Amino acid sequence: MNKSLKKIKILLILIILSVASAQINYTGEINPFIMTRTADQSQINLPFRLLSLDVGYSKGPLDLKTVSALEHRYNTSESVYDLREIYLAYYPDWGEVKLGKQIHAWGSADGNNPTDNLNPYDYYYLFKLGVGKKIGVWSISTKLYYGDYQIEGVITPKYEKNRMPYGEKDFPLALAEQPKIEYPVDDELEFGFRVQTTIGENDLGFSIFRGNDRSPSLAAINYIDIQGQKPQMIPQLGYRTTTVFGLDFVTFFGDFTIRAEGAIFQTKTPMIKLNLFKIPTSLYEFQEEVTYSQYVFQIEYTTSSDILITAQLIGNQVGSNSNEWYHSLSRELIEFPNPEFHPGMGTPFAMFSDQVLLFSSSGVLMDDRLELKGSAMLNLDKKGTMINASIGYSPWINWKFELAFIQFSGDNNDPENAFTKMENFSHTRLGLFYNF
Amino acid sequence: MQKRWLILFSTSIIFGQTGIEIAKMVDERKIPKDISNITKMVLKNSKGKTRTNLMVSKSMDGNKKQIIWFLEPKDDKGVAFLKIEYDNKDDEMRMWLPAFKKIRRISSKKKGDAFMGSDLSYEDMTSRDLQQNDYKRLDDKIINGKDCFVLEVSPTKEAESSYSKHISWIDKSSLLAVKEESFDKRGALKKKKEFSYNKIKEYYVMERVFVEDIQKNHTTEVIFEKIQVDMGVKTNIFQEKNLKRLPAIN
Repeated sequence: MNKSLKKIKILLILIILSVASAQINYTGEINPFIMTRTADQSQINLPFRLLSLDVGYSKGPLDLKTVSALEHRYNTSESVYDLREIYLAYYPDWGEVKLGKQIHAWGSADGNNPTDNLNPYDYYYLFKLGVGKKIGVWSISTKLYYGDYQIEGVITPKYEKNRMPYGEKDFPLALAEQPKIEYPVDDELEFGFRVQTTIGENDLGFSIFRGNDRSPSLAAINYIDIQGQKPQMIPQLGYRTTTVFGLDFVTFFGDFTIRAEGAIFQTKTPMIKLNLFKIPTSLYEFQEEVTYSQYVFQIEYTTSSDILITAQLIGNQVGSNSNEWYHSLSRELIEFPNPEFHPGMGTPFAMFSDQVLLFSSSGVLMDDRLELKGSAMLNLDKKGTMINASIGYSPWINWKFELAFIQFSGDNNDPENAFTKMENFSHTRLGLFYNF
Repeated sequence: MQKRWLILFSTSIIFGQTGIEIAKMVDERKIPKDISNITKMVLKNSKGKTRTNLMVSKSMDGNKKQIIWFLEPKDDKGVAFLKIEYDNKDDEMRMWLPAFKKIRRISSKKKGDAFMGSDLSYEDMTSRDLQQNDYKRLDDKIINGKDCFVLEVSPTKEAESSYSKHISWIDKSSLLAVKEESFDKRGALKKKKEFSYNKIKEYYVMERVFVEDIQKNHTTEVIFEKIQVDMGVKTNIFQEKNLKRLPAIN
């Protein structure tokens, strides 16, 4: 017992000495805000990150990094701690190795990245910029720096899906309840590979990713036909497997910066693994194989007054689509209506439209004290617009007050239009930021 | 008599130097192999309101390689900037944005853009290539008690400069620039700069830069603190991956 205690004491001293000699860096933000609906001034009650904290321990070539958040809801006064990232990073001369729960960032464009599918999205934070809308995944990544080349490989052994706002009355696109997933992901292993190089003043990247869709899709139907009753078709959901081939680049044309990326997705419903002795006679499997593409083309310009103006064209297009229904037992092909295809991976804005034009502008005045931002999204596929504007004022260093508003306009004749559904989400936001 | 002729001859050689010769002397001045410092940048607008940025900087090869990590204000903490100047290809400027977990490439042609909202542009932070400028010697002047060469420096078309010319006052005894005026493409005075130095080891190292943007009525004061020279900064620190790691701050 005494020997064990002595060993524990020595270990603790070593840990304390190690931590004491390590460099600790932290940065954080406290950001309370309220959102009120434009239509009736009612408060929108959705969870938000009240506190964000990044802590890093560095010792030699090793870093231990954590990113945490405290998510709060006003209506229930509940606060939930979210460890968004925790990973060990090793920086040898040739590159970097990271192991743990982490958020990756691929692609060249800003905010909408079809080639960036390593992490699922948190749809509660869909309109947050940068990595704020992503969910960390347990993974190992290695990046090799070789001359003008960067070669990166990522392996994710544990699957994570999108976090969807099921049952949230205040989120217009949410489903009433979380659907039951009959066929969860069987093969959780996902992997990706990316090569980036610099040619002159241009950066060029190629990537491949193989993983599971982040949103469920139809995998089978349980067809219940009881005599005297209307037949029921009960959908059963699963996750497609998808391979993504991506290309992204950054180039400069005069005073303009051009960032673009495109990805081709090959998605397929996996074979359902059923207990051979327990296959229901009423089960019909759906096999779908779809090739679709997404692209983002971005052009940006900075004026002489340091105002940044950006235009983005975001598109989503289905190429080939083959699907069939067959009976699980007899494997006989059946004619059933095919569901509409929805991508389970890629840029989240593909759920709004097949093609949108996004303009944004930002500038600072009064030595960064006043920050003005604006953006407008135009649906090119159907009728629909989104306008977003914010003004931030910093009376003291590290403090900022922000007033923002967002307005959605859809098509009154098309209630299924995503922009129409989002009209009730139009709101004003008043918030405070404190950075430390 | 011979001694007088020698003094007269030597004096005429010194004071007969052309602009390019003076520029070469300045360029060949002994400089540290590497410099590390904490940089404080105070921005002041026309109303007297100030904003302070704090950074850690490491550079080598006469500032041809530089990496800067931002510490304050706190919402900028973690942002980092890497600049590598090349002789035979386009310079590289990259910025690490922690909120996006991405490294953004900045065009070397955007050198005229302001650095972090200050009155210093990216061009002001890059060294001037001797071959990409024309030099004309103007009348010598005395500035703050210092006898100075005055050079008119005109970037060639190859330099792709955002300036049409600079007037530089160079202390004859130390060959250090003490003052500079920079003119925009229309030939109008754009910026006035003043430089102060400190002797560390056998080098004169810049310890303060004061920049006044005449057209915007705005100033930036850059103060270099905790300056360390020739500390053996390794070349491999000027890599993208190091943008993501804040260095030890002593």
